[in-house]
Amino acid sequence: MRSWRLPRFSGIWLGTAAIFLIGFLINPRTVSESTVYSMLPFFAILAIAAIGQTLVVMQRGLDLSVAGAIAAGAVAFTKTANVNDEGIVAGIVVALAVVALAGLITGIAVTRFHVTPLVATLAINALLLAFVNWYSRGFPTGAPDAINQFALGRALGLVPNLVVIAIVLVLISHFLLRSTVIGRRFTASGENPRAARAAGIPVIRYQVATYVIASLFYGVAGILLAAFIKTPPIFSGTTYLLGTVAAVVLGGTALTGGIGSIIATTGGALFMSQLGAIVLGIGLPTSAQQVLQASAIILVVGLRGVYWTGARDRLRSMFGGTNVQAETAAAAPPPRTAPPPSDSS
Amino acid sequence: MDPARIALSLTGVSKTFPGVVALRDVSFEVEAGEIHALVGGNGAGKSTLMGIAAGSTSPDSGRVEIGGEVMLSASPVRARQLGLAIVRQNPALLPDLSVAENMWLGVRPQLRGGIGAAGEWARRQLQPWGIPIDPGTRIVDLSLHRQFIVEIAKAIAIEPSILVLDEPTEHLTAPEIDQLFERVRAVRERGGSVVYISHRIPEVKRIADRITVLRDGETRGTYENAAVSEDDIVRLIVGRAVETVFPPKRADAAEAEETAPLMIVDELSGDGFSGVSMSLQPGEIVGLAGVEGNGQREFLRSLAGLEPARGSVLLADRSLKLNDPTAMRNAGVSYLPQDRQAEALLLNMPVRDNMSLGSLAIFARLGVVQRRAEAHAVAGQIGSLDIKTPSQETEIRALSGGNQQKVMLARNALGEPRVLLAEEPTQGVDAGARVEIYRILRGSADGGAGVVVLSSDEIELEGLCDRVLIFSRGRVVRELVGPAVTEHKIQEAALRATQLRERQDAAMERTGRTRLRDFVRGDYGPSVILALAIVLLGIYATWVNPSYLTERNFGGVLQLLAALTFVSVGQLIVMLTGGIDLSVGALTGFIAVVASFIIVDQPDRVIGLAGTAGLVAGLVLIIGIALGTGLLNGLLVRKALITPVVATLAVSIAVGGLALWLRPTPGGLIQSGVTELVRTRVGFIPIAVILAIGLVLLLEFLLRRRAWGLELRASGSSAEVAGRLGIPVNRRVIGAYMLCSLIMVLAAFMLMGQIGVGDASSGVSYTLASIGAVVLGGASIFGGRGSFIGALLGAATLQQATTVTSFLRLDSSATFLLLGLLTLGAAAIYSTARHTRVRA
Repeated sequence: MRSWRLPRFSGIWLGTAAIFLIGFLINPRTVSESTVYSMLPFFAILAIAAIGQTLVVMQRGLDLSVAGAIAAGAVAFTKTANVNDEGIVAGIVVALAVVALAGLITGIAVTRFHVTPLVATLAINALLLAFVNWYSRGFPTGAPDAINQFALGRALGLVPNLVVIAIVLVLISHFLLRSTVIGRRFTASGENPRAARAAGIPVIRYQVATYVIASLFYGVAGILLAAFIKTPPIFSGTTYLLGTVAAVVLGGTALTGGIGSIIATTGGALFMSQLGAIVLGIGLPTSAQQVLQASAIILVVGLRGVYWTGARDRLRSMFGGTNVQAETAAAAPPPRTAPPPSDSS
Repeated sequence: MDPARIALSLTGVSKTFPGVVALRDVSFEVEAGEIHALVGGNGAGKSTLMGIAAGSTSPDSGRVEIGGEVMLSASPVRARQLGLAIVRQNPALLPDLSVAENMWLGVRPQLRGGIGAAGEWARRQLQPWGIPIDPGTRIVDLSLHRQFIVEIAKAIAIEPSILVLDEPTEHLTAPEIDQLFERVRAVRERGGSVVYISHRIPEVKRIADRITVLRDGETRGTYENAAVSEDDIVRLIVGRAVETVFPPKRADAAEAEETAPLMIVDELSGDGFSGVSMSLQPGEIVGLAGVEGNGQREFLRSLAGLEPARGSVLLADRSLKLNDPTAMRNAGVSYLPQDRQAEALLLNMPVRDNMSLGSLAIFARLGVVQRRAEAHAVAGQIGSLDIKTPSQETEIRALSGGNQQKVMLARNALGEPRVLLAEEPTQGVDAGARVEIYRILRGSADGGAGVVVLSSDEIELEGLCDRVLIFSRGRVVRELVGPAVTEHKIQEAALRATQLRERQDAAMERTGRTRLRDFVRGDYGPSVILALAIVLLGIYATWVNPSYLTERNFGGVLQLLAALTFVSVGQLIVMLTGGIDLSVGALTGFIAVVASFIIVDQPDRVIGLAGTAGLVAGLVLIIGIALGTGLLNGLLVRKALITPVVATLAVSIAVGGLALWLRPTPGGLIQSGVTELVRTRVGFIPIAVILAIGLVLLLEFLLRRRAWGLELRASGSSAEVAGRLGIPVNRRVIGAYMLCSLIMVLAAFMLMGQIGVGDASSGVSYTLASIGAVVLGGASIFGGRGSFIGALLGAATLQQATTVTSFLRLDSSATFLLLGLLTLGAAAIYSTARHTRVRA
């Protein structure tokens, strides 16, 4: 195992273990078989969507179209299949085509038209919701029985099928990212796009592909969500936006881009899912779940940030400069002359 | 000497940067009323010395006195207060603010007058330069050369007692240089002093009273101008002790002339250089020299495909595709960047990943990188280049500069390039590693590659290169071959070049396209377009359905518009600082929910307040909630350094969750007095919309005409420059989040008026709509620019679009569609227009 990744990306598993333990101490029923089995399918769906968010964050973006893409995937699938087992394949194809197109538009807007990822994904989210409304004509349709049965099933009677799919997708993504030429170049493009460009990597192509692939993961999550709950409300993806961001952040992938770990993100997704299960388990409403999940993000990211602020302020007071946000410093034009390293850092 | 006549004195100053001693025990004194030139070659320490004087760099030891006051710690603000103004090579201007606003912010209040007169005042300061610079133009839209003139004019306007000019003539034409000299002399007449840093000895001879020469971080003496000749100065600058050992050069230089050239560059022109031709033999090292900023850097980078260029480049008789780094790399042209941190290193990644980045395909089978082959090749390079690293897995940030640079050279070597372009290959590298880097570069050449080295170290060029091209103001002015490649000859050619910049300012065409682009980029361009869109949509709607144009419909639409305007105005305040607030919608809903427990006619079972008591308590509580939420957002962004999106998204979900927790379903009847007040109309116009427009006009006035507005935009445009100007960036940004949240109280009252009950989800759609409205109104999401009138019209456009779709009996998906398309389209148009910068 590579030592340089261990401290950063393994913390989440300790946190996840802790949350199961805390849940057990509060109420032993939160780790009972029935609770865990009702939590796992939603964990699987979140984990799949969170792969996409991880990829976007690694390329220094943030995807706010998660909710729209999940809803679009679910609606495109159920409406196209039209409660008909023969329509499953067509439904999957249409759903994936719709979300891939959305991702392509985002990618082109971000790279060619210099729209910030934030505005681009927010606008695409609105377009996807428009699609959902139009394609569903305002009312939901059920998923075909065959896929519903599959989604409810368990492999070897033990592991829910959705979890199997999630694990397979996570492992494949992880392998592609870490071990292939494309994955390594992808990581470099996110870590330092200018260096990647100077080394001859076509960074823009990688960025466009990122949004397309990420959208495909949201689309898959949407299809599985529909398959599992049979008849999802038409705007079904709303809770997943914060969920994916939280999973990525808790997993340890820096929002400033670069190295990320999909496996650690999966740990983050498990943490968030179990946190949700505990909140419901002790009888609080879903709204309390939101409050706690949001607080978890603020706490984790905030603590990391405060630590750095302290260090930076100490450095800065030594040079009499002012406190500058990381992004603005990075966006400043490079000095034209030999940079004395201690001037700005 | 009379101590009162000493304007600036530095005593025994030393400064070391990692790997380099920049200054060694330097003392430097400037008298009042003199023009004192500071000359020296590249890297002599001139800029570092003046950085210390200006308080932006802290010395390791030594003492700085300005006007007799001792500087106790490095502080640019303190140095400025003491009367020192510095003009650097890259101007400290706020890109999104106008020329007049920049000059106004940079000058002490007693000199500048009100902002209202800033334009006229700036025009007066700029007039003597004889260049038409409109004080209303944004800095980002000016060419670098004009930015420089603005920066100099600003510095002179401060009426400094010491004016420091760092290479001021690099970007100027001959008449402008005359103008500059006249102004500099005027500063001296006034009794001020000028420190004039330059490489250009003929210019120094024209202007200076005294001259101090720096070499290798030490002074070589201070001289009366009349007492030294140009030749004397050149002799003082050159002649550094050579302690480095260079590998032997190519033995048979004469014979090599006959072999076919590897690369032929023909009449290549780009930003900063024009008409450059050269050829490169296999096995040859060609140096590029010249005073910093004369086009040699841009030329080299254009060969790597990283800077735009036109002309032709042939590699082994094949024409290369310009402006495409991937194509260049695939053709075998490999580039070693100067700025390692910014453009070469993957700082958080291991040595191995850093080294193999350029050659992954070589180690791959079916697209999968073979770890063993990769590790083997990397180990080979670590051994042969003697790279000191604990292991291949070590993060590269842990290595010394010299070893990092060797890893970068190994990255290039693994790709087996035919042409290696090296930009300042030994910068920030210790002496030992330097020798090895020379050996590595010569080794590549001996292996048959062509090497181009750009260096500002003439000794390095002398020791390493077979041939050297000297650049001055964008052209090659001298070529030195073989034995003629000496430090002295290179320095002399660069220092004594009198080549002047060509400028096509006058010929800069104002085509219809650029005029349209300028209009779109302006503060109010988007507003005009939006107003037009609103009217056209209205006409269309009336044509389809005449009931659109009734007072009844209009009153209702305006009521809705008021709410969206409030939210958009708040959003814009935050966006001007370069942030974003995703919590506006949730907060609005939350405030309405809280109010629905207290600002009621029928007391709630738990709270028990109603009527006037409820109204007062409720107001206090919701204002407190709003300010607290804003403060939380601001602190998370500025103090905990969380990206604004994530911070406000999390706060949004938390606040939304709380609202839902309090009221899982809508309920709680708001005081009828309040809802009636909100719905009051003057004629058919709701008072709410009058209030909203009043707020817009007030904020627009503050934004353009008050220091608060300028400082807000300055903080968003460049927090770093704003901080250097003494603007309290943190206070402005956190204040912006608080003000934004406070305005959500008004938005929440609009909601209460519309719905009459507390509904947690009622505000949700406002978040996206407010961002859409602000972006439509032309605000930049990066901060620094935008207008409240634009935000108002953006909100009106969205409202109009929604109304029209409902009048056309389209379903609600059309609303989403319009919102998404308008936002995306507007962002694409504005961003693209802004991205094309003016070049000159």
